[in-house]
Amino acid sequence: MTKKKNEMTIDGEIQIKYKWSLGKAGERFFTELRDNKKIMGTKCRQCGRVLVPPRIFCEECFVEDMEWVEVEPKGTLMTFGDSYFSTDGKRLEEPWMLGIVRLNGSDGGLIHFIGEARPEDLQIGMPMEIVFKDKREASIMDILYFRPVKD
Amino acid sequence: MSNRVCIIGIGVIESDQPIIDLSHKELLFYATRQALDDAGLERKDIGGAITASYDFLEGRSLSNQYTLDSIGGVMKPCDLRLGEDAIYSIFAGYMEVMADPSQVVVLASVQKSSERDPEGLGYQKLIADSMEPVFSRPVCKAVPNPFGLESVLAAMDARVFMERAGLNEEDVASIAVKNMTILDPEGKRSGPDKKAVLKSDLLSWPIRKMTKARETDAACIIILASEKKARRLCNEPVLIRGIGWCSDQSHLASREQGLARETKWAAHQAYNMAGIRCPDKEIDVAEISDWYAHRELMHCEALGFCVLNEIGANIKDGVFEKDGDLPINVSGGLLGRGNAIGTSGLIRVAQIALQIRGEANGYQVPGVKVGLAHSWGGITSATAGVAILSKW
Repeated sequence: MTKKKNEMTIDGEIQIKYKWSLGKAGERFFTELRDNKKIMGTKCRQCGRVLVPPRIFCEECFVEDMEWVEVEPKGTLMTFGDSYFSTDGKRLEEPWMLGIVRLNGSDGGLIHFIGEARPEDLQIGMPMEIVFKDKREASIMDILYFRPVKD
Repeated sequence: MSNRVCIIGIGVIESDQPIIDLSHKELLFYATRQALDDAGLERKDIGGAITASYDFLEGRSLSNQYTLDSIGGVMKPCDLRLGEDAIYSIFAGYMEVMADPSQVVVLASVQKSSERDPEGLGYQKLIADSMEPVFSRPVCKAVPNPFGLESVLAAMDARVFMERAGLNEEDVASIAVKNMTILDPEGKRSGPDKKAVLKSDLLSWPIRKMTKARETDAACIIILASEKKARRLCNEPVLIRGIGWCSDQSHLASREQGLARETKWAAHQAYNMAGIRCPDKEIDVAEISDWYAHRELMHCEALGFCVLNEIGANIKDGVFEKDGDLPINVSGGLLGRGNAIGTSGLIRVAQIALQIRGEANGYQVPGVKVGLAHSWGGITSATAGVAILSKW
């Protein structure tokens, strides 16, 4: 079962492209994000939770009894991680960072880049805000990144 | 309870090195042959066959079509394909035997990470693609280093857990040291010390090269039968006393961070079925997912082995060491043995069955009566399964 010198193999690959529907909830969310820089959530009329990312159904109450509500583009840093490596394996001066932010008054959270900060500036639980892209095209990348709220 | 379900055959093939001289079909055949010989059975005795692995990791669509002949499953009714961690095959197999106690069911999983991607980055390339596609995936696809994504997601998980539990990097490193320690037959210890773990490459704080399980190649077969049948077939059937499985929210960012909720509920279900009230006292040995070192501790909490604020003290007291009160991953776990993604979930079950039989050569814990096997689907998933085994 050990590695032999003359093992024989054959190459293979699978390549398929996909188009993902945004769905009813996604269409509304991304249209508002693109056109009005607004973050929309759906509020379950039964349990009162505000879902961001939004859904047209509450997965807990399992009903379609939802209303759209606007959510502040500010929230709490739930956790974060950093990487000092680029694709070619070179060490970067400035790390790239991902974080999860729960927007104020909402349940759930968004995963996105963190900018205008270094890892040592960040703390779980600190307030963060969304920086929007200028040219938006109805995708989650219309958010540029989260940054710590400046006093 | 004459139709309880038992493990009657075990076949595991693992290697430290890539297994390149055998195809995945040959690997599965050898593991199946081993398990059939262990159970004293032949192909004619097999009633149904279940395969579990991830198509994308295998690089074969509908991969069961290619593996059934290697596990004696051709033209056997009730063959089933699970695109899941292979611990799930225990649950499906259990139900097949309960439905028809005359059946002998073969559970199979194979994983050859060495066949995936010439640079060995196959799993890293798939990480972003296992994220929810509309709200999360575009972000994960846009990171400057896609091969670093897994470590960053694991770091996010570890950071919030360590903060909740008040643990530092040394605590986490001690788990890697424990699981990577090898005892030779004379009882001599070898393996990295804490300093070596903390000096290993930092991938994304606190995830290091040595606090993250490396990928490996493996095949695992387990054969199940009803108690009635098992009693006739072998001297030492291992009883499956409890099973449970559970999945959390699909959006990673919407899940409660730093908490293994799915493991907690999977365990709750398994404990209820097995009649276990105090897992920390009633379970003699456990094999649980240590894909990342901090995850072993997170799962200890979720499995009810300790409470959150006692994790640090338990590490210092050596509770989870081989000679501790509740030995965990004495086989080396994923950190010590390597992670054959998906297949390792079934290997956890095989390891516990061997402990119960008293056949865990080199790392047998004395007097094991009840053991727990656990597996978790990986950093982008929130899926976990638990099986509780005991002496018949």
